[in-house]
Amino acid sequence: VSQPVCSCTMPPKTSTPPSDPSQTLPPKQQTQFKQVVKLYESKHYKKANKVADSILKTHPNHGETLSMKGLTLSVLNKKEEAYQLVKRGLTESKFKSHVCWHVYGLLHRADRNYKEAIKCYNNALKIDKNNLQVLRDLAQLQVQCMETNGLLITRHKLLELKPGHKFNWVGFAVAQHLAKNYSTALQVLHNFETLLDPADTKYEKSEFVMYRNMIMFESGDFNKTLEHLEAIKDVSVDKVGMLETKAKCYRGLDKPSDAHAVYFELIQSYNCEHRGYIMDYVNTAEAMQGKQPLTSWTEPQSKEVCEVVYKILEDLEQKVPASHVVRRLVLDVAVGDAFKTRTTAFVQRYLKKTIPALFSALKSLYNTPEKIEIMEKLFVSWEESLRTKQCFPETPDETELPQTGLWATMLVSAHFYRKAEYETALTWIEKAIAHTPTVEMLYILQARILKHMNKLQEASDAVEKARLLDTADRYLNTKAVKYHLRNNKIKEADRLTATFARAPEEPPLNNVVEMQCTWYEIEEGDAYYRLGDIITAMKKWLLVDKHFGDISEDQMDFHQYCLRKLTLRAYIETLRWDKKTHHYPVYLKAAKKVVQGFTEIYDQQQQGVDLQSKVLHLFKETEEEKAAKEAEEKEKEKAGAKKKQQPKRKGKPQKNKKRQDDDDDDDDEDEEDPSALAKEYDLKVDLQTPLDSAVRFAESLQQYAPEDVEAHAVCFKLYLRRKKPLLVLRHLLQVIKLNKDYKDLPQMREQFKAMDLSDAPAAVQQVIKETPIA
Amino acid sequence: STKTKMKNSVVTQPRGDAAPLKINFVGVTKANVKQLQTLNLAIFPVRYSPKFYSEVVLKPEHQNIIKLAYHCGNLIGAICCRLEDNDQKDLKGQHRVYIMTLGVPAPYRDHGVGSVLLQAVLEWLEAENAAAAENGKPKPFSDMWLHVQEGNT
Repeated sequence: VSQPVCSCTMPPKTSTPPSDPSQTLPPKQQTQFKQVVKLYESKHYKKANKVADSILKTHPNHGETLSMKGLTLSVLNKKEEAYQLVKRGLTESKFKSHVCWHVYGLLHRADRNYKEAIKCYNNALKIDKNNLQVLRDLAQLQVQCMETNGLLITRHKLLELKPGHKFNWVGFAVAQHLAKNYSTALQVLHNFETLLDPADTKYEKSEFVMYRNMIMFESGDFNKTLEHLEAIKDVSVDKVGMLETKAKCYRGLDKPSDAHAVYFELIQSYNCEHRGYIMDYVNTAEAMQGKQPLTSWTEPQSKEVCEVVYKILEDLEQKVPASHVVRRLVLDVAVGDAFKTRTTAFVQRYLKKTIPALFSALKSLYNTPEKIEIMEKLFVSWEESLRTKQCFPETPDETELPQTGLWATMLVSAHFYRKAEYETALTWIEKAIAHTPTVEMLYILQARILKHMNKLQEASDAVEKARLLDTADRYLNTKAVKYHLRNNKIKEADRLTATFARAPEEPPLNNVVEMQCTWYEIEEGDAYYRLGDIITAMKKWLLVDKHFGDISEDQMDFHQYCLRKLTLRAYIETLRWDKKTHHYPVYLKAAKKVVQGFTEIYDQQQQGVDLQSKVLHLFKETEEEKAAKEAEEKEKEKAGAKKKQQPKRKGKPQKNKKRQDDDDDDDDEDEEDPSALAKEYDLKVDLQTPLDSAVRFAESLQQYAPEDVEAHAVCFKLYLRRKKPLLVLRHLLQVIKLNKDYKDLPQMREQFKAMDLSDAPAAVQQVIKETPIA
Repeated sequence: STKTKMKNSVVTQPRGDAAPLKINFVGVTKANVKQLQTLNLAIFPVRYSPKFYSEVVLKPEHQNIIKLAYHCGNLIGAICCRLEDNDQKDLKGQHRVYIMTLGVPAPYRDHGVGSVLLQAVLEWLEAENAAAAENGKPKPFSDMWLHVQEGNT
């Protein structure tokens, strides 16, 4: 994250009223103050702190110096002191120094209290209306929080003050765009173009016109957009983007046949494997008009729709024979004999090429029982034919290679695995292993089957076998790690992760957490939970939340950058995406566990269980290990001490030449302390108010996982304990709506009826009485 | 000397009707030695000790006389030889090459895999001998031999 630059690089026009002597500095201290600012900006925090201290010796109540000192301390991780100093600085300067307000804003921003920071910046602006630095910082935060109204004002101001800077124009246009004032945005861009030359390079020019086109499209004026596309044909280098917009415009204007033609061009000339284009192609075909458009390939469709889509895809397949995807998608809509012939052709082709991913490609076909039956007959007959006659039954004259038989056996095993007939699947995979025991993928499939049979130790052993066959293979290593975690062997999993670590000396946790490896965090949390240690489990699950916060925070860098680089389409899309990140399944998965976790913590505390006693310190060093480490370190010191003596002698004569200040250079370098990182990743679990902490996760679930029964059940439990009867009712009704046969439903109903409503207001009691929960 | 270059991939020439297979030769390393172990365990009635794999197989001087045959990314055959000293007085200083294991799993037999494995090692040995003769040095390898299991027809 870029270091926020302090506003006091510019001589403050009105800082503090001259009548207050303690707030103005004599010339010597003024130069020192400027030095403090410079040192802060060049990251020499300790030095800045020293100089600030020397000013404070003679002027202990100088507000602005106090604030600057606070700022340097905040970077040196002394947060509490920093806040105290900054607040003191504000009061000493009687809240009339824009520098103090700015610094306070910077502190809040670093702690991600964006709303508070915005307030501080606004206060700073009240004092110094035209402070460019504050305005820029404010604009950045307003975009981050999507406060479009405030952003409009700020960006307008910036444009007024510096109309010569290109990105102020762009920033203003973007603000208008985000506020949905499309015509104003276009007008701004037009004015910008007439006054200044917006773009330098070919790519920037292209992006600039495409951005204008995007605004036109969003404003809903499709005809204008189409005309504009024609006009910018030679300037824009994004041919695909133009075609996509064109097609969308035609659909917006309800001209499906024109759109259909454009999609065909996209498929044929640009990307014949693009599932999106193919779906749009199908939906804009004449035969599909008046019918419900397809939204997903994998959901089973009505017979009528299947027939229509089949014909369209068959036709497309002939026109674009190179497309693998089309050939596969046809299988989803084919029926009966057509399905049989096509599946034979498709699967046999890939069996001959021995592609392990074949079986995952067929997953969606298992939605239809009829197809399952056809496939079973086919696969088993092929396996037999290959084993006994080395050929496929359909082509008895062609001899197949030995491994085609192997993959066929694996395919049959995978088929039964998918049907959940695990015993049969196991027998088949054992046959495959007997055929060629050196193939890793066979053991992986075997492990999967065993896992589903709940034989976790055997599954783990199978994966280990696979992993040992090629210890340099990272995929196998990762699989082994996962299976160890499922088997609650946390230390083993950790040891394996370390084998692929970048820096073996660092705690392995850093590898996982720095890489934001959420699946590992969730699995590890699950393992701790199963072992009874709920606190550590919560720490792991909460890391997922932290990552999402970090991802959101990382967007801050782009606000300035994108305006300069004119990559505006991608920028706007990123802004919108950022608001939806809590939509991601992995976040919701973690959120469910977190809510469940907090609820259990509360329950166990009520029962008087000491949760800290259950914490498993799996990675704490034993006494022996500590002693060994100390001995090792002592030896290193002895060896290192000899080395240090030599350069010192060389350094001495030069010392007098260097200035005194440079003595401190060593301290000021930011040392990356790996144990500090580990502390950062050791999150605190709220044991005081667990139910309160759980609320924001429950709200995310309510907003983004409305179809998930488990999520509602988990929220039900939470609100029951928080004594919010209406919310409890809401979630109960959702569960009933989604799944009448949900296993916990009768128990939930009982708990609901047993709720104590004596404290609830009369209106609430009325609603509870009247709503049916049968 | 290990300067003689080895061919890395060949196509087998089966004697019968079976299809020729494209084979890649790969040297054995710590990372893939377990594959060799699994292969031998499946093919041979004799179980070799872990030392066999950790010490003998991974010796640097055996690098060129131990070959793994890969077909379409799967291990389907291997040959492991080792160097021995010569007992005969007049051939002292020359090594004998002893074939410890040579095997192909059942489904892949009769495709000529065993032949190419043996051929690969032989070619290298002969090339080394020829190179030495050119430089006027004595031949490093004298002969190759092996034991056959009783009942292996």
